Order: sequence, then C-alpha cells, then structure tokens
Amino acid sequence: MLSAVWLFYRNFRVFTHAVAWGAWLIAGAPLGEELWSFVVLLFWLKLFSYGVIWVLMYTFLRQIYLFYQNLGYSITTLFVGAFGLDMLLFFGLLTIFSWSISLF
Amino acid sequence: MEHLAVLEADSIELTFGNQKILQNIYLKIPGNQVTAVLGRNGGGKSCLLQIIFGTLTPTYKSVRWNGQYVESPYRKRGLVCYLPQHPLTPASMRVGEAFEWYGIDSDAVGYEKMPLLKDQRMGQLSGGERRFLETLMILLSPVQFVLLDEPFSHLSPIYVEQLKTIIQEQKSKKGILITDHLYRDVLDIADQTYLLQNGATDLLSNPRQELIDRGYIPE
Repeated sequence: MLSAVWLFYRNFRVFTHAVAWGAWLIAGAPLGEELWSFVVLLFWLKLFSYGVIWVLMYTFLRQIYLFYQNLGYSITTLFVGAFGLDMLLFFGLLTIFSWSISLF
Repeated sequence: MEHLAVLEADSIELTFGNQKILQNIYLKIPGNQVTAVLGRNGGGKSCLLQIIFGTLTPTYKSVRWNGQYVESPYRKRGLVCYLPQHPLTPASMRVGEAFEWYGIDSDAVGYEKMPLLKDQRMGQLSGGERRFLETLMILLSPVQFVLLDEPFSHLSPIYVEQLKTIIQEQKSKKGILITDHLYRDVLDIADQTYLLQNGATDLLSNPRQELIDRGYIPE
C-alpha cells in the first residue's frame, strides 16, 4: 500500500512542500522553541493545501484515480495516506534541520 | 464441477438533474463469458460500468457477486478491473512497470513488441499503442471480472483483431463485460448481448436482427 500512496503523492509533493516551506520562510524560519509554537499553524496550512489539491484533482484530473482504484484503493485512502506521508516527511525534515542547527 | 463466479447489477437508478439516465437495469455477467452492452452515445453505458465498478454512486443500486451484495466492488481485491475511455496509466510510468503494478509479468505477455516497448514511458507511446497496452493490462489482470469501456477505439484493425483473440482466450479465466460502438467486432466475440435503450437493458436473443429492429444499426 505504501508504494501506491508514494506513487500518488509524487503527483503533488512539490506543491505541498513549496507551500509549507514557503510559509515557514515567510514566518522567519523559526527553529527550536519558536518552531513548536508554529507547528499547529503549519499543520492547518498543510490540511488546507490538501483540501485545495483534493478539489482541483477531483474537478480536473479525476481520471488519475482509476489507476489506483483498479488496485483496490479508494480516493480517501490515497489522500489520508499521502497526507500522513507528507506530514512525516515535512516535520521529520524540519526536526532534523532544527537539531542540526542547535548542534553547531 | 467448478463454481463459476457471477456478477449481477440491478435496481440501478441514475439521475442527472431532472433527467433519468438509468432506471430499469438488469445485467448478469457470468464468469467464462463475454457480455456485451450496446447502446447509443449518451445512453449511460460508461455510467453503468462505473456503477458496477463502484466509483459512481447512483440513487439506487444493487451489485451482487455470487448473490452477495457488494458496496464497492473495486475495493474487493481480485474481483474487478475497469478500463475507462481515457488513458489509465500515469504518462511518466514505464510500460513494464505499469504491468508489474497490475500483477502481470510483461515478459510473459506474449506480445511481440513488448521487449521494445517495456522500457518506454506510457506518455511516449502513440495513442493507439497506449490504448492497446492498457487494454491488455486490464485483460490480463488476475481478477474475476473485467469491464472494458470502448477498448477498440483509436485502434488499427490489426490491434482490434489481436484484442479479440486475447479476449476469447481470457474468457476461460474471467467474466468480461464490453461496450463499444464497433458492434460487428463486439458481436463477433460476445456470448450474450444487452441493448441499453431509454435507460433500460434488454437481453437480446437474436442480436443482429434485434439491433436493426430497435434502430441501433442501419438495415
């Protein structure tokens, strides 16, 4: 299942990362303690960007889903999986980045 | 005696606005047979296939597998695959990779051009070649039923003949539902034919004559 979710996520990973990293930079690239107060806002921003992607894909690119539906995956499964993966990647990278900075 | 799977669809009602698209449907797709659905453009054939597959929700429906109601057939592993009218695979995906996703060894497909094509991306192929390979991919999938929506469109006659042969071979392994406007080719391979007209299906006992009588094909 993870490989199917990854394949699906690849369709829009650049967009979601651009939005989240852009917001982080606009907020002054907070790290350490400052970052954790910003995490909730980033979470909601990510959720909102997924809503936008859902609507756009459902309206203009609905045919994309059939490749995955033939494999037994529903649209909800794909989006929930992709969202989880995206959160893990984004916050994982942010945490690693934050730790690296604090070390030096 | 081997138990043959059966997929049935009935009590389907689909409405768009005030217009009833489907209202009196009964369709039985036996395993080991080719079932054809013919009908005019805009008659609801594609919608019917999507309802059976489980990705289009009508007002009412009953889709049963061996007599058992199935809410979303596509979510039941190994039950059904659907070939839509539009391209199915991601354009950036390599042919061999796409077959692998669907559980098919591309080297064992038996298509003479496969060694040349399997490393090409789907988006690099011609429309007809891509259509042929996607149809092949669905037909060879390890599932009990396949639903083919206009598999012959955009194909040259040689590809159509090849697909007809493969469909005949595959029907020993699965039930096949096909809809296409190339009615001669469809009738050549169909074991049973339904006509979808005015939102209702009728099983035809003498398809060629009844299709003329009902105004689907010219005399």
